[in-house]
Amino acid sequence: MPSRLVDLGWVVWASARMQAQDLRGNKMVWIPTIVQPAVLFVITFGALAPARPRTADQVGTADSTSLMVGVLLMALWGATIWTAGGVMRRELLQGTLAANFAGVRPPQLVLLGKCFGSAGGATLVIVATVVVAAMIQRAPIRLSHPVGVSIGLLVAVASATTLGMLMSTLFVLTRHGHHLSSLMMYPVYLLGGLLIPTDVLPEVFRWPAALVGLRWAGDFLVHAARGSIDVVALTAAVGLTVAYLFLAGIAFSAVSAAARRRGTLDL
Amino acid sequence: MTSEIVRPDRRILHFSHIIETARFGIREFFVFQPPHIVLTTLLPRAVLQCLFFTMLGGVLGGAAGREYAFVGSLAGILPLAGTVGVSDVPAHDKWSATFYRIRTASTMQPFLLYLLRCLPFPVQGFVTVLLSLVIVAPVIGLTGTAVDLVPLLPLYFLMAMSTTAAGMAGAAFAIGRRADVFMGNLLQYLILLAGGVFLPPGRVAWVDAIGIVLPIRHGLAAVRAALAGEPWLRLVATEVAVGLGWLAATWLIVALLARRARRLGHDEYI
Repeated sequence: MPSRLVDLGWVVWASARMQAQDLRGNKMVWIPTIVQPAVLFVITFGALAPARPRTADQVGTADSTSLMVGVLLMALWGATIWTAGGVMRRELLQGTLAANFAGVRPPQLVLLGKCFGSAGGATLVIVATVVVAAMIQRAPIRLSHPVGVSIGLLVAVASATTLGMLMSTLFVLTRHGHHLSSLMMYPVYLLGGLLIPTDVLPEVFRWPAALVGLRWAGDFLVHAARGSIDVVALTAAVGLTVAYLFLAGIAFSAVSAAARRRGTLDL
Repeated sequence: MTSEIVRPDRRILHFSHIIETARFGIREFFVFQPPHIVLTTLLPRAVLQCLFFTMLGGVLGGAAGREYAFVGSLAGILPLAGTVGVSDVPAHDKWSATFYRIRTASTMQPFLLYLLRCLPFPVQGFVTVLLSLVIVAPVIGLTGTAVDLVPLLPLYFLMAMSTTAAGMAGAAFAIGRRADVFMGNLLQYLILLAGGVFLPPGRVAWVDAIGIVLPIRHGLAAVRAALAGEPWLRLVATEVAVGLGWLAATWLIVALLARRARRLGHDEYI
């Protein structure tokens, strides 16, 4: 049994490494992991620190810590859509999907590993980008609870991984998955509570943020950066991550069964 | 391999050739982006992006920030078609291996062909501006600003064209480096950064320096000046000059690519 577990763990790790190496040669990955977070941080922090004093009604609610976390999670969501979300679509285009499904290893583990490789690699690059952008802009960087921040980042990676698995499974159902990916970015940006606080939204649009694991991971990260631990946010983020994994498993089984039945694994 | 340049015979270019090529560009556009995809993804994505940045402007800068971001975000969505979408045109030739037909064409210069095929994109960009104006303004409570912007809509169309010119140059430059999609997105974010879309000019010096040569920057400044009742014609002229500059760059890049392909005898944008 232990050797079986080691074997399965090796499948996940090898898939993650392979995905990370694949992405390293893809210039497009620079957009959501470097360009987008750098630009978003510069323009939002620049807009937050105006040249002239503002009147009371013009003062916003954000500060540099919440901006950094918000930009990080927005970029992670974008990277998840474009990298992890496209794992199965890329396998289809490269002609490896059928071989993966017919392999001796469980294809779900390959998907899990590839999505983890995407989310983990993207998170490392995005964090570095945001920190460098903050240093260039001379924004204050708070790290009062380093362990809490590390836990928050790990939870964010896990959440992005499982969400990526779910999206990857669904995006493969359409030939226009890349357009769908593009469309899916902004509803979460708008309603996910990542950079726009939910309390500025109309009441009827506030509930979707509760279903976004990255939002809870963001709440936890902001609190940890300021020195406190938000157990509720951590629990919600972990719970949603498990829920995404469960849904991804169901979706994967349904999609693969349908593709095998119709003989469309390579189509 | 010979170093001699093989020049195809040039035949007289008729107006019908231009019309037919433009018609082909429209058909090509809808083949790769069928109407149901345009309606369900491309247009809603642009409207949502405009709404997002407008709301973010309000979060960071209150009422004034929201209005500033709304005016800017209407232009900020233009690169979705003008730089990201346009990059598909040379990419289609690359993946379909049809570039050799363009470089050996006897009637039309590759640049003119490229230009005519890209015409749907400024139209798409302008349609997204109109939609966002109609949808986002009432949602965000900026109907008055939207009404003030109606007479200035031709300036947004001008920005749609100058953005497409920049997108054409970027895509032509990047296609041989397998970076066409990357370049379209990079230009989009550069315009968001330095085009005066969200961040007012004068806040970050190095950002201002980048913005001078980018499309949208001067056109948007003209829109803001017109809203404030200040002179704006000179800014419009600068936007036109920037657009023409990018068009000239496109012509040069495409001419060099076609010349090199003829000289080296390959059929790719390399």
